[in-house]
Amino acid sequence: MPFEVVFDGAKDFADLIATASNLIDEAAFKFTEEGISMRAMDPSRVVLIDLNLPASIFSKYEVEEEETVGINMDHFKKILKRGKNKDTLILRKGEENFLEITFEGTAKRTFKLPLIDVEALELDLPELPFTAKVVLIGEVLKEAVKDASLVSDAMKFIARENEFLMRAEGETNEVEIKLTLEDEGLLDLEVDEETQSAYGISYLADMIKGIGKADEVILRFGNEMPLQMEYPIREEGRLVFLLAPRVEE
Amino acid sequence: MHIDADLHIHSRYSKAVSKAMTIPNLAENARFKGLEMVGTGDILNPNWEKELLKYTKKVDEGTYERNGIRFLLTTEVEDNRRVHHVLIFPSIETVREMREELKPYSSDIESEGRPHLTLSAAEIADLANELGVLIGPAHAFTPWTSLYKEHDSLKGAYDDAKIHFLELGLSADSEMADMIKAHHKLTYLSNSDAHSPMPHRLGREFNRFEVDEATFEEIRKAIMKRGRKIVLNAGLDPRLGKYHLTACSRCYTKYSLEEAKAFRWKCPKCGGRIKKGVRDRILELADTTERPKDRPPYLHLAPLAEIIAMVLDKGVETKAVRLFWERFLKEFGSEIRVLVDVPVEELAKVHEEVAKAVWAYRNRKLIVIPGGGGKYGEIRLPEEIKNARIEDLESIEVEVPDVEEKPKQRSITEFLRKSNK
Repeated sequence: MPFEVVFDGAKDFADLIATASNLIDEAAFKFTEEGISMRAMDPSRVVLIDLNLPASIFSKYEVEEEETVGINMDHFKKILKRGKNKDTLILRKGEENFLEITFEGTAKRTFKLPLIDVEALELDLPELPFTAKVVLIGEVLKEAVKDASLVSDAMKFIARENEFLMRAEGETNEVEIKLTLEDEGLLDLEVDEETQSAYGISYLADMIKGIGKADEVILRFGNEMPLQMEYPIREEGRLVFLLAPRVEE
Repeated sequence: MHIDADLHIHSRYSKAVSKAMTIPNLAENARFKGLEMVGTGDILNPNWEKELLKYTKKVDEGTYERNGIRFLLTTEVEDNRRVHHVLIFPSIETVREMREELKPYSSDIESEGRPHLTLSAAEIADLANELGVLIGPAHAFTPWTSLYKEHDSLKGAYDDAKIHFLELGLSADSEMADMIKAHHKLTYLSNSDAHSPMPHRLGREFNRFEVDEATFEEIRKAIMKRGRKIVLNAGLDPRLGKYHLTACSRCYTKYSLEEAKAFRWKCPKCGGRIKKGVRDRILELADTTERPKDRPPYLHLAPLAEIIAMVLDKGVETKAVRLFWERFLKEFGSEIRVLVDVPVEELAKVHEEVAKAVWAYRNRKLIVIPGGGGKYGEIRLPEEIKNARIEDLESIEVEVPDVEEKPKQRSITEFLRKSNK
């Protein structure tokens, strides 16, 4: 059997896939000895998604040989949604061309999802010259994006030596969210130089949909550079979004 | 002789049409606008037919007249896939015959202006051809009820049935439509599809025919390119059309085609439906950069009433706008003359600001904010022109920002390439 992996807490895994699936229709998941990875771009080529789940975060991880499977994200998401919090999730693939998704809880429920041909995105994550790093709790970011969406379709991130600002300006209204290290919502702030960049709210909204209020989110950005948004997953795994900026009007 | 004709309008019997759409009002406003001929629209509706016969006198089988304005018998119908077609009839007898033929396939032909038929485009075209009625797709590229919202080609809709013209619609012009090779042999019509007789609606698009007299038979020859012809199509700058760019039909936020696809045609801002713009639809289908040699020129118009409304900063249907519009027409004869021919200094004697705006329009120095999602585009007068004296207009520098093309959202691929270098 090519692979069988087990993840405790089916709902966490479902949230993870739900977040990624907001922006992409299909994805190639690569199963190797080290872990599972997936890299994809949204159809408008504004966001790059990079998912990395090392073998250590699974309670059982058996991959005989490296294999890449193409998955329709919408179908995958809908199936995973059927998992309960206490369920154990088992992903298994045999010789045939489908993925078996099993929830083990009060009963054992198994779905078979046919695999599709997806070309894997063969590129390395770029080393971008970020000049600001901000660590926030998920709730702050979620609320800020909601606030900003009331007044505009873009929001500006501004990092200074001792404060982090998120600002949106519409034709008549504007909103500013301000955080210093004294605020509970801001966990860390590292700024090489004052940094400003604007991003599309519709994309941000899709990127934050699945994160929990208490989750830690790491933002890195530069002047008119992409925003790298990173969520740690069970400490060793991570989901990274790289969002292209809006140019200044 | 040259005659200016607008062959697609609606009567007060169609949905969402002004109560003022009566035959006498149409004749009066057509004269103001400088049109010599108007399509009746909605002629399959028996009440509208009665109204036409009451208020006009017959010139020949297919041509009627009121106060010097000629009327041709026309209608728009909707087929079983909600695609709209324009029909031009040779006689009132043919109108009645077609009405009888269509009755089994329509529940609203007696009450509606634009009847819904349970027939396909090909079946309607076959029937039209049998009766000698001219037929072609209405506003061929718009996202709700046009041929290209439903089909990828003319053949896909009409199969082998003959059609006689293609109506461009407000959001497209000849150059755009010529990007599809199958159109090259067809005559283009530029009609207003007006739902109101107001001067910024009726005749906002028209066709200039070169014919011997203003009758159905002469117009038929011109459309069929038999010794008569269309010498000019005139209409809105396509950017002013309400479906030019891809945009949300509820909040009108504009999207690139790629973005719209990524959002699965659902607006991320308000949840409304994103409608594919005419420009993007044509670019999807484009298969040639050549143009047919016999294609008449297309003159881009911005309705004079809109220009006046912009300058006065008043609604386009207000009395003040109407007053100045009438003064310009009284002074110079027709809207076309005001927009194209009369020297700016002359126009300035009626209203200096409007004259400056017309100058800006002629020299393509108006700022155009493109339409989309159902919202018409807008025109704005650059401040430099507003503040300049008439005699200095030629020498001032104006930068017209290209609102449409500015890429606001960058692509992540630009950064991936950079970092790999």
